[in-house]
Amino acid sequence: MYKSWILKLDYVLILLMVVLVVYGLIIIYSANNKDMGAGSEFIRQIRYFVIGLVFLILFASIDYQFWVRMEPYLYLLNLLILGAVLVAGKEALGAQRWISIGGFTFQPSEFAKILMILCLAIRLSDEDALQTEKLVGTLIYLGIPMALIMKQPDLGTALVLIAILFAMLFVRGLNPAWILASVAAGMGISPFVLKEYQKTRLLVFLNPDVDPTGSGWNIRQSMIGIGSGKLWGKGLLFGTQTQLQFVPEHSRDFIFTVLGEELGFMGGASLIALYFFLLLKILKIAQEARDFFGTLIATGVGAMLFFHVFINIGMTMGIMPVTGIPLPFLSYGGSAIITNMMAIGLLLSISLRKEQFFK
Amino acid sequence: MKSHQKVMKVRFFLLFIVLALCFFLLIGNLLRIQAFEYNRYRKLAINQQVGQIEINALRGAIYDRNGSCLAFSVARPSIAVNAKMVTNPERTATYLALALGWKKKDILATLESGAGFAWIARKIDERVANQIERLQLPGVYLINESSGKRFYPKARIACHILGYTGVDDQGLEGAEANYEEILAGKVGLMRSAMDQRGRIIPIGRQSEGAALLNMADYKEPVKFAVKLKFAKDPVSRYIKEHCSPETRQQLNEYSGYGMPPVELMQAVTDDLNKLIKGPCFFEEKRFADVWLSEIVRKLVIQDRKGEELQAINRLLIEETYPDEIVQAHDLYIPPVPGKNIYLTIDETVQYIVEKELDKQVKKFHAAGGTVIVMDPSNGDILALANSPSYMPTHGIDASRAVVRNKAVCDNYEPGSTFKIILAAAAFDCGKVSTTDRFFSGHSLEIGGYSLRNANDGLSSINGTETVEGVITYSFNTGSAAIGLRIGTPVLSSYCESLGFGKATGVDMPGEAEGILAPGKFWKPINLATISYGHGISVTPMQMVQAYGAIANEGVMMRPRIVRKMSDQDGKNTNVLTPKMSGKPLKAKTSHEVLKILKGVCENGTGKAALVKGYSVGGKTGTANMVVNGMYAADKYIASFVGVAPIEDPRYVMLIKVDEPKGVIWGGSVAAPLFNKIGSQILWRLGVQPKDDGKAADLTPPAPEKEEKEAE
Repeated sequence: MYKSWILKLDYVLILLMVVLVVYGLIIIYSANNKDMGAGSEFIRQIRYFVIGLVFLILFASIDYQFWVRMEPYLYLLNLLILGAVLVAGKEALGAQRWISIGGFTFQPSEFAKILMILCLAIRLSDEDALQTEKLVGTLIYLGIPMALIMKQPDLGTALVLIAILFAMLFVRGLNPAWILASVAAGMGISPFVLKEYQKTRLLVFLNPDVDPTGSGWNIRQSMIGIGSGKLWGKGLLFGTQTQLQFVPEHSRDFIFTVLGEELGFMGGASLIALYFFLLLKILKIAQEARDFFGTLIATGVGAMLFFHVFINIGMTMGIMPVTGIPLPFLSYGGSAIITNMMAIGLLLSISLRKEQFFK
Repeated sequence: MKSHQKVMKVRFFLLFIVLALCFFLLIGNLLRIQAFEYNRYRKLAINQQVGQIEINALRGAIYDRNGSCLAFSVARPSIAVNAKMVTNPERTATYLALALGWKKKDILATLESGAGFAWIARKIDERVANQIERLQLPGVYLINESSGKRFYPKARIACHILGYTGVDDQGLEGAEANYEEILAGKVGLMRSAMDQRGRIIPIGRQSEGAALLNMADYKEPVKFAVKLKFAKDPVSRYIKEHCSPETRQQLNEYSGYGMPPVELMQAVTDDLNKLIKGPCFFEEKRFADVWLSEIVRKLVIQDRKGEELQAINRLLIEETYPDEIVQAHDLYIPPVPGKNIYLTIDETVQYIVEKELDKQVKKFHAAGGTVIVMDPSNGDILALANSPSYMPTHGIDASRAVVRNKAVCDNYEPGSTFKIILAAAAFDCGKVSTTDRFFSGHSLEIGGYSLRNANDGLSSINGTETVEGVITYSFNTGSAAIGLRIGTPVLSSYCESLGFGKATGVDMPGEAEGILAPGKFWKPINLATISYGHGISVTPMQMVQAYGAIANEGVMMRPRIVRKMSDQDGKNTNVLTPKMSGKPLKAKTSHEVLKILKGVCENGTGKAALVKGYSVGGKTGTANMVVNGMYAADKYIASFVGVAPIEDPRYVMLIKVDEPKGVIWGGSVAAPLFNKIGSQILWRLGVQPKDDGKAADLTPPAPEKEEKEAE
């Protein structure tokens, strides 16, 4: 039985993930100008990947139904870590997003995504989840952690959570009209709830000249980087735009710029194709899941990854606003890669058990 | 059990559609940016990534004839590397990091970049630079860049000789302007990748043969091929003419539409590289319609060879085709430091001259004055001073009138000092002997004009005088009589051969030529007045040069202020040979005239010029100033031109005091200066006093250093 469990793993999914991480490592290596020292981002990213692998195996081996019983604890844990950020968080770049526990620094809003995917999937898999009172309850249920995230402030993650919710509701069977109406309403009220700099950032993608020295400058530099890459790029380590520090955050939010500049259209397009296959795979897992709960988790994970990919790559090309969300599996960052690998673990767990193999 | 799957089938299909659309959007955008808008972004990238720096060469210093520094620039050393030449990067980085107090890691990255040229640190402390230089690290070298500031350590001393520099370190007056090209050296250029903060960073590729073109250097191959094909502008025509016949044929076969064939571009590239490797591509006519940047303009006039010349040719092609050809990343043309120049002046003599002139100007409340001291044997100007003076450091702010070098730029009427020229002409032409006598009465009628002796002359007791007598007592009437005797053709030709009416060619800017009408326009009255120095305009330098001929056995040397040049490290010294302006007089004439000059000082109007212990000679002069072409009734110029010592002249000295108040006579205002200066500088020049018996009480006056203004 143990042997067949190993055989049944979704190796295509695992392979796609590994290819993405390796791709990311190559770009991080180049973006940091060959730095492979002990404290380098390259080595640290490998370390995070190994930690992520442990979580992946853990999440894959646990029957995802187990999480249903844990729902209140998961939700409370989420509020706890998000609350802790606000109380004892570290400030960086004008926002409090990190907390330090026992020497480990991590970003709770990353883990909040996976926790909320589980919690929402549990709530929405109820028979009467789409009843109005229940729906309102779900909105408040999501609203509380979201408010904490907005307080940091981390607009990007908040938007990811909304995307997750909408995708799940759509799959759950909610009338798409409601979803479209909500999106419209959200856009309508955003000018009143958003902070000034957030508005500027959102507007920048409509017109990069709004903020030519701030976010607009970053976008412009990013576009120059990608644009000057041409078909095959300038070659790893030879992206002048990157190596001369014109591209900001080049191993994190703007890693796609480095890729586009150094590996050109071929590099960029192949990455987008990889993501496309990954998401198709996730859609398939969602469709083939044993139960609604599994479908909803897979949908949530898919929505999360899609939103990250689309917004991030779109941002580097100037067609999406700057929201500060990283590219899954590629961008340097421990919390993000571990969260994403947990999500892959969940997907593996779902695909493993689509035929109630263990029951 | 899986009933929900059917329900959701449509919705999943919709999700798939959305997903596919969104990814299509991403790929489409990527294609748009990288394929269709590539050229625009590439241009933007290059514009911000390529940094070009003009490296100013260190300006040469100016020394006096004995090596005392009068002007210098401070170098700001920069450390650069040729990574290919670095034999031991680890060791080199360790040493550099220690010397500079930097992180070794940062330096090592540059050393391992493989770049042909990269800065390590710019404009560093001189002490640190010396330390690094002493280490003799292979591949690491120092570049001395000018800090742009010029220092004049001796304050006002020799200000009119030195001149000053402007804000861009360019010479504006004096030797600084006249020797601009030699002092300034050759500007260098450095172009390489530049990071977001404007720091020059080596990226490691393109460094070898960066000046040569390759296929990737065409921004717009179509446009470029079309320009060459039709060759309407001179540069394109030149390139096409110098292409191989095959290439030309290929160019002619190319339709002008769409991408030119790769073989064509390859052939064109090869031909262009031949031009780049060849001699300097620049020619004024060819580039008349091309906009060249200032730095390239400066570079093309320089004499460069090898890789530097290739880089210049590449720059010329780039600037001709700014839209078609990409700028090369790593171009380096090193600056060539300017040369040091050694003046003919003697700082101490100059100091004495300036001090005494200022005193005299002050004493007579004069508007100003000029003194020139020249060695007649080689034309070396030992001192040249104008009063008032200025501080070269603040030269830009000084008034134009003060900055003006009146010794060479201003004309004046020489008055009686010119009678010596007459005497020289009279003896030399052979028409007059030392014993001939001339009417020197109170007045002389010529062509309806009545000439009189000036107040400082006397009416001859005898009625007639020898030439010596005429000059000694400065009779205008006698001079006119001599002039009338020798005639216009003789006098005017001697005026010309003694250098009047044309620039002396002294190496100072803005020299005036004086005014000497050609002899055919002279009327008898002109001949008569020119004979005693009226109706002719000269510059002080011309007078000194002409007196120089008299003092130098009739050989006239061209006055000069620079005698030697050398590289800044003292190597390649080039001692300039003195130049002769002509040999206007016979040696015999010279001796006869010198005897007269001696007589003027011993018996005549120049007694105040006598220097104790030495035999000297000279001639006084007083003339009305010419203001706006008219004689100014109450403005005079008192002057004296003398020679010392008379038996073996070491110098000719001109003294000119403008608008003295109270006493106006050259014999009273100018001649005493000859004595005061002479008694100090003859000793300085090592001339032994003639009268041995009285030598004991001649105490050599010590230069009064403490009076010098400190900057």
